Amino acid sequence: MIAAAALILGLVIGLVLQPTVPLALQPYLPIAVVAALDAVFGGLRANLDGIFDDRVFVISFVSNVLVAAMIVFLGDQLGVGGQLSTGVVVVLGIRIFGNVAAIRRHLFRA
Amino acid sequence: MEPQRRAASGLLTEILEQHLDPAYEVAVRRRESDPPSPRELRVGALARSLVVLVIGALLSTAFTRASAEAPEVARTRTALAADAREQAALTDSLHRQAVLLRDRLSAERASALAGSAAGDQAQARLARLEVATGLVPLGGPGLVVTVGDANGPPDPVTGDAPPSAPNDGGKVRDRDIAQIVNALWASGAEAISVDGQRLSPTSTIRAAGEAILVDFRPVSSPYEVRAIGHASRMQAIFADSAVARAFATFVQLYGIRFTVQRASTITVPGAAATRLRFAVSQNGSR
Repeated sequence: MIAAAALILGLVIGLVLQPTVPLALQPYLPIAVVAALDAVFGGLRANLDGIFDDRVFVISFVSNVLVAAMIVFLGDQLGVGGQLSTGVVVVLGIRIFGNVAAIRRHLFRA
Repeated sequence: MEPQRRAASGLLTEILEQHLDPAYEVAVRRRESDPPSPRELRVGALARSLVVLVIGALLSTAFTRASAEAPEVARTRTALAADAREQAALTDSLHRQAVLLRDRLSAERASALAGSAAGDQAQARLARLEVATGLVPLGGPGLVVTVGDANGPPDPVTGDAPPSAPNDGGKVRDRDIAQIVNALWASGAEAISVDGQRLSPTSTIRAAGEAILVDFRPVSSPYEVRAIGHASRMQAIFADSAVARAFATFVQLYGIRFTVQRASTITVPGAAATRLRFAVSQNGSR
């Protein structure tokens, strides 16, 4: 499957090249990871539901990461960065949980 | 659900129940009415692979960063500890050098002053002052008071007794040392050293974090306080002091170590010279 191969390739690239994250972007890395995980599990679930769509997946990933980063950035400027990060993580975390539960139901019928 | 309730609890309901992006369902309906062309499908697959690749790179980058951060903390700690040890060794060697130079200075001075009556007088006076100010190592009978932290509760797995926790009652504090030293002075001690640090008139015993500093040099448990003086009389007075009685109680309460021993000969090193920058003698002569 192409997507799995691309994922592994990406993992290997990250591990081998070890790209340095610019200092200004470092606070957004954890949030970007959570947003990316949300997009991935959403896509996976949609795939199992038989309604996966490339366009929605790509746009949901990009917008997830951008919106999450923007919320954290705004929060930093307003002095509530920590709380807003927590909010983003909670909302995306709930979604990840829900999607993983749906995936589990698909795979194990339980 | 009625429209109004839906509007009120909409956000939370959506977060809790709508996990999948609704756009996927919209896309399905759109595909049914307007099937994508083969070219669109190819572009879509490419974009999807690209995004998945980026996600993979993102995950592994975050992983390497997170795993690199923990050793970073440990490394910094080790480096700081090494720095501290290095500086301590440096001050030790400088201290030794200072002692050496001072010995040489007094020897030179003695030879320069020897011969004349005035010189002999000045030499005798200097020697007296040096002893009084604590600049020279001294020896004599006295007391050795040893006080140490209590052991913490034994480890349930290994059975080892770790050092006492910082906030525990069994931890010896800087003021404990200061009280013992003061009680020893009050008992008639003529010269005192704490863990090999001679106390001069301007010496300090204070705490920095959890460490106890004597004249800004760290000392560690067990602390050995040596006091030169009339041993038996000092022991009697010290044993009767409020401080010694308090510590006898601490031994029972917290399990700290506290022993007082009489010794026929103990030695204390010389203290670092006090540099007077502003104070000027008002006696005229010196």
